[in-house]
Amino acid sequence: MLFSTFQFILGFLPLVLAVFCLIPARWRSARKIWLALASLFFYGYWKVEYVPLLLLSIGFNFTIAEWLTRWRGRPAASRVLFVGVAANLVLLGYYKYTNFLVGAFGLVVRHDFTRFDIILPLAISFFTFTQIGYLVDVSRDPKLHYKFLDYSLFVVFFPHLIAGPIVRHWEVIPQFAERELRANRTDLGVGLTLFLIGLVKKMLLADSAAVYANLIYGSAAHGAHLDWFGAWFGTLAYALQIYFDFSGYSDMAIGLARMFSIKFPFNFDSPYRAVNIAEFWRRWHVTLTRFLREYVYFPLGGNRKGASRQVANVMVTFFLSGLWHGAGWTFVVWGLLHGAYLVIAHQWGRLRKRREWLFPHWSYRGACVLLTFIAVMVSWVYFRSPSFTVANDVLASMFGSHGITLSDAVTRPQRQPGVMLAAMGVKFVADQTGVEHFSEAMRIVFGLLALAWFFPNSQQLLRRYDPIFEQDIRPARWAMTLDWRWGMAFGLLCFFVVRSHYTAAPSPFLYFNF
Amino acid sequence: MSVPLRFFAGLAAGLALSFGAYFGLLFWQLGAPTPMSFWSYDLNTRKHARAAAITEPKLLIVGGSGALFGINARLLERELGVPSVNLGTHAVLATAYILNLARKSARPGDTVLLVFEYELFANGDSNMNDWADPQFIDFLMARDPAYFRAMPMATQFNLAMRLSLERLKRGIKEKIHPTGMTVSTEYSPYDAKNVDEYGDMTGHSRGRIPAYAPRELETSGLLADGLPEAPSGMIEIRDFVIWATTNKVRVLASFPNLCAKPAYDTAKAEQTAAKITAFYTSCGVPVLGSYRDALLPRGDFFDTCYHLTEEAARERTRRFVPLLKPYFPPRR
Repeated sequence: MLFSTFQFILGFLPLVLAVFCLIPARWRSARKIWLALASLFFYGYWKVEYVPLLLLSIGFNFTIAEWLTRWRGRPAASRVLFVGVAANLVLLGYYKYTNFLVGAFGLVVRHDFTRFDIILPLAISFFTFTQIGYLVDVSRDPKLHYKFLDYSLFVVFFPHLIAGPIVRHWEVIPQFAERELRANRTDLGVGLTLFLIGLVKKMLLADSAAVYANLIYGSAAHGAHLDWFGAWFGTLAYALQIYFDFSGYSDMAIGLARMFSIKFPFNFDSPYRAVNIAEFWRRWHVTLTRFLREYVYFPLGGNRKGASRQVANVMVTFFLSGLWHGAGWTFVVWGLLHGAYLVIAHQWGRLRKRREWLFPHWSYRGACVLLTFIAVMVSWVYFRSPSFTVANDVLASMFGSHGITLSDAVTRPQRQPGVMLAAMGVKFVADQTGVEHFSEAMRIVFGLLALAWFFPNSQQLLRRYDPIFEQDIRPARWAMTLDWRWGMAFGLLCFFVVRSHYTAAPSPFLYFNF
Repeated sequence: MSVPLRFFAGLAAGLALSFGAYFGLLFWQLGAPTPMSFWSYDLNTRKHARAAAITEPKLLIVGGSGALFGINARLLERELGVPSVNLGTHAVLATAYILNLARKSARPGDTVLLVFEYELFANGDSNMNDWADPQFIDFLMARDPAYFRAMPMATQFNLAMRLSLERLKRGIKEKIHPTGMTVSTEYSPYDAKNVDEYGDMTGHSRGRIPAYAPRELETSGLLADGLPEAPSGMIEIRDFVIWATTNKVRVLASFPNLCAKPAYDTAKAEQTAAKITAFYTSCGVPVLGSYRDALLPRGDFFDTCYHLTEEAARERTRRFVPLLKPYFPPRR
């Protein structure tokens, strides 16, 4: 069941909320049981066969955590932790990486082995990471202990179960345990607004960009040699699609949790405004970044063991990040590319510090944002392409190996600005992108870019209402006061979202694949 | 900071107002003629007028544009000695609407020959979401609002929500300032003035195969891959046959002309054709010829895999006549 479907919005959510509100607030356990059961139904709606796997995983991890608590300080505890983490990774590895490893082995021995028919259980990457984090924390903190019901609800709570944010136990479980778990008007209003912002991002913005990204990358996958502009344009469309898609999903998840009085951490913070790649990762899929930082990068030694070790740690962390996103070599290259970017950024930072270069001018900042954005776009080529052949072909077009070319569908060479561009050496070629109305496409895609760069993000818009777990929200020029005018505006947006259900082809959230 | 009740009231009001304004404008512009719907409308009007003018028992050829381009009613009339009208129309109008046109034109004693494109067996009212495209919605709203209004409320809502904003704008514009039709001097097969008094398409000769005609004529997925479990177009056809029996209209059926492909030379295609034959037989409708008879070489096609050229249509009809003759014995 997708958050954006009518079954969810008109059926599941109102029912779960209504029953939740009808259960008296003093019956806190009953409310939790109801939320846990509803969440299991939500998960099982996709494929009921995988519900036992999820339950088994919860039971196993809770038992391991209990043993860790019991044997704390004894040598057996570290062995139990190892078994616990390894079991989680084996489970994830079996479902997600078996065929990848078979393929990789086949490459080495030059034999094409038959792949196994394994269906990836929905959300396995997310609930595995959530629980690994919990086990590691239990082994570190002698006082950590939760009730089984709280722990189970923490893992299965439907707003974050499928595609995050990757919440940490100490952020969520105390809210189940300490607060009254009471839905109120403010939580409902803020949650609903966040949910609608997410819905608009997904249905109206991301899916608009997806049309062009799919067309252009589809053409490339069918062997078309993209022109220089078409290749950049398709990649830009994809960069915006994935941003609005995943940040929209995160907003919806945060909003849903808030409807039940639970605050989630933020997952996106206008990442395309980052001035360097390190900042980009502090703004993009924030909950995954901090997971990798705390449970991979820091345990490897982080930056405490010298510069060369730091480089290795960064590369290992990003290698795993790539692999987490998808069992394919293109994802690995995407991860390694980001690792390399980060290493370069660290070296540049050190150099600036040593030479005391400050570059306070706004133009330097602007250039940094642009350079970071371009670097990220280049990496998206590997993320989006179905194979290295396609990715390399798109990159070759982007870096002008076929010349600085422009499709004649963008503008005719006989007409302005075609005449001017031709005079500057731009070559016009027959269109291979498949985009029919380029002027409309450019209006949409560049409009979305302006939104991503200049418009406040959802937590900034709602910062007067403490929309997220964290208190420190970056300041923005303006924020909403949820009055009747904003209500009307969201009502109008709702109408367009409903319409898009009928006019657009159904498209799942991109991060469901991971 | 707390959220006031007025926010929720505003949300509900905004949603209600948006829906109200949208449906208000949509219903207000119903019947405003749009240029895109003109061809189908003009085609249907001419054909119905010709059918209505014939008082004696006649033969009506019913189908999508495959029938319009590929069957020659003039030749059938000459060979069979029975007044014939080609009711073939735009296939986007789909099974239920096309059969509705046939109901309007048929009278007791008439014979209806069904020559539906394979896709039309799967496109019925119950799965309109899967096939109703902008042209169909545009046509209903611009040219047949009565049919649209007679649809169940859920279907009306569904189609209304799928109308593009550009089309709604166009409808409003046409309602205020109707632009009328511009008459083209160049030949176009999608101009009803090229349809003769028998309802046959004319002028689509080999020499006029347009440049936009695809180099590789597409494949009919349904014949190659098989019909869905419960093809909803068949429900409409069965209803029509019941109506025809009640109204003393004889129904015959045949397979549509289709550009031959290796994909049709398979057991799957055989099964699809057998399923169609079995369906017609279960309705008591004789099936003339086999699907293989209607698979024709690429050179016979005009601009789509269902559209024959004028020459090929004549030739195909000539070969079809012996199959029809037993149903039309010479009158004394």
